[in-house]
Formats: sequence, structure tokens, C-alpha cells
Amino acid sequence: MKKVFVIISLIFYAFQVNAQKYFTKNGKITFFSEAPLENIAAINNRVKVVFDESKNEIGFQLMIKDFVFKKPLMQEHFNENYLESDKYPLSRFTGEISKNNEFHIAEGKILIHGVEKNIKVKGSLIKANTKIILNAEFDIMLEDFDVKIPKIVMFNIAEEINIKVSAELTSLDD
Amino acid sequence: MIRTIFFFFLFSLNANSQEMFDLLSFDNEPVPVKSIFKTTKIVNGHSAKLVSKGDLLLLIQHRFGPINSGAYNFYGLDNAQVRIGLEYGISDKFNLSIGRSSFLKTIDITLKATLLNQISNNKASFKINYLSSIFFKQEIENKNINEQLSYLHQFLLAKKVNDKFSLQLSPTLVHYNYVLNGQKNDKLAIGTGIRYKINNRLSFNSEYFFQFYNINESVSPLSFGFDIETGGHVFQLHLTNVPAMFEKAFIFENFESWTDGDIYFGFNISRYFTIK
Repeated sequence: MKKVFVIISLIFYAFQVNAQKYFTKNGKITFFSEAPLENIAAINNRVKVVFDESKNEIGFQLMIKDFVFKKPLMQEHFNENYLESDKYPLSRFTGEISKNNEFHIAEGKILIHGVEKNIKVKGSLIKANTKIILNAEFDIMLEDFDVKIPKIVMFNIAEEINIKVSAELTSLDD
Repeated sequence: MIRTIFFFFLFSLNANSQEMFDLLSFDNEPVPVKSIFKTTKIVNGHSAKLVSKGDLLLLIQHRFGPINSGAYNFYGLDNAQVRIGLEYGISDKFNLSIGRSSFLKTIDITLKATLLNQISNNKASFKINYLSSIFFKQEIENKNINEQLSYLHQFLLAKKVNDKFSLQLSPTLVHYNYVLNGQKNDKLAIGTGIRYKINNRLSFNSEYFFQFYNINESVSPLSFGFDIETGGHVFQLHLTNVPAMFEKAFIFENFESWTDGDIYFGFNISRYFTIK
């Protein structure tokens, strides 16, 4: 009898776990890099984001090809020469969120250009009814991810890239 | 008992992260394959690449004289044929271009359209373009204008086999409005082209056109070259057995051959401008 009770409560527990997931496939990630000749900026509106509230687990995934630039040629070079999106089509972050005073901290692994690194990002997480709104901003160094920039390139590309993340997740129950 | 709880716990954890990855997956989303070729020419012939919407491509093509023309002509470098072309992306799938060749003083106007894209998650798919050109040969005294015109219809079937290797087949029909006695008005050929990426900025290209019913014994063009990309420019350096740079002439009106040493060194410079 006791066994049955435990199993049933475990099943409920599992269900409850499921019920606390939030998801969007329209998260937004933009990056910006200031360079002497030309600023480089792109936006990706098709970022998939999952947040598991019960375990504070967060996951982001996007396709490199979905980054849109103002100049088509820049977009082509980004895919062909720098991020090599045929070889490394995806970029991903998975980690855990913890709260520190007024900030939320996401800590985990980021995958760019086939290179995985540990990263800690400060951001905000706002819960409203069935929604969760995430915002974060951080910088990465291109050389950390093995993105090579030859000297002959006419756009002088900065080594440091500023990344902004925003997403509005909705609960998966309804 | 503990084992059961442990099992359940593991199971639910496993199911959860698996579900998380399923939610994040992009596996079932087809994406059109881009950059099958670096620029809009393989060597002489059109490649499956189109100019993006709002971009303007300035194409400067140059063929020096034949290498076997001797020291007096500096092995061909004293002479040159030029084609200057502009290509504009009306949309990502529709381009309009115009060019002028010094060879036979010909103007060409071309429409190029993508009918079907190669899709990333479908191994059998390939890109299909249709292309149509009109060639106008300038004369000192204008004759009957109809006699100065010829037309090109071409399909470009291209596939990026993997991230390094692309290939293309180009069934080609040229219609001449005016031909000499005993010649046909319509001429057929099939082009083959390959690209092999040596690294991100350098690729090796080759191109050959096979002719059907070759009555006037035009020598089929065979070309080899390298594409060098430097940001806004693509430089193409090549060796070929044809001085002409438009389809009608380089496929069907060529009498220069590799075996006789009629080898031409040449280059194409592609410069992209975003105008929109």
C-alpha cells in the first residue's frame, strides 16, 4: 500500500515537473560590434528558449543562418567565412538560473562555432501570470570561440562582440 | 523500494532534459542551402548563385591573348578581351543583368530566376535556376536588326554536395536569328561545372561545355581557375581556351583549343555594392 502511494505521488511529481515549463520559439538575440570602418549588427528572431522552473534550468538554441544583417554580403561572409554555418549550424546555451540580490545569474555552457565554454551571465527574469520575460546582455571575445579574422579583411572587425538577449516565454500547459 | 524511487527520479530527470532538447531542436526545419558558388560565374558560364536583393554586382572580365602567341606579344599579355557587366538583385530569386563584350562587340541582357532551392535536410534536393539572355551584336552599319540578335535559354541545376564541394549541370540552348547556309538556328549544349573549397576564401573551379550536333566544329570550352575572396571582392583567375565571355560565342563559336596551345589567361573581378 505504501509502495503504491509513493509511486502515485511520484507520478504526480513528474507531471508537476512537466507543468512548470515555459517555452518560446521567437526569442530575440542581437549582436553588435563597433568597428572603425563599419559597425556590424545582426538580429535573430527565431531563438528557441525553454525554462524549467522547478529545476531552474534554462536552454537557448538558435540557427546561425537565422541571423539577419542589413547587408546581404555581410550575412554571407558571416555564414561562410566566420561562423561556418554549414559546419556548425547551431549555437546553444544550457545552464541554471540562480538569484543574487536583485539580479538573476545564468551559469552554464555556451556553444558557438563548435566551441563550448563556461559562461556566467547577469540578467533579469520577470514572471507575470503565465509568462516569463527574460533579458540579458553580455560580451564575448571572438578568439575564445576560434573565429578567425584575417588581416586582409576590409571591414575591420572588433574582437569583442556585445550580445543582447530578450525572450517572452509562455507556459507549456495552456 | 529505494530502487523504485531512484529509478523514477532518474527517469523523470532524463525525460525532462530529453524533452528540453526536443523543444530546442531545429532538426525538422528545412533551410535553403546558400553559397553553392562564390560568385555568379564559375569561369565563363553562369553559376547558380544569384545577387541578393538590393545588391549590385559590378563584374569586370578580362582575357589576355593566347599564351602561344610568342615573346613579341609578351605571351598574350599585350592583347585583351574585356566584358563589363552589371547584375542587380531585384529579389533574392530574380536578377537582371547587362553586359558588353569587346569580343564581337556584343551586348547581352539576362534574366535569371531561381525556380527551386536546395533544401538542407533533403539529400536529394538541388537548386534549379532558369536563365534567359538576348545577345545583340553591334555593326558599323545597322543591318536588319533581327539578324543581329540571338537568344540563350539555360537551366542551371546545382548542388552543394558538402561544405566543400559543389557541382552544376547547365543544359543550354542558343537560338540564332541569322545563320549561314547549312547551319542550324538552334544549338544545344550541356555545361558542367565544379567548385572545390580549399579554404574559406579560396576555391578551385572548373568548367566544360559538351556540344550536341556540332556541325561547325566549334571547340568546346574547358577552363580551370581559382576564386579568391577578400571581403567585398571576389577575384577569379583562370586558364581557358576561349577568349569570349558570353555563352553564344564561347560555346558555339570557338576555334581555339588546349591541344594547339591556344590557352588564355584571364580574370574576373566581382565587386558587390549594397544599394537598396
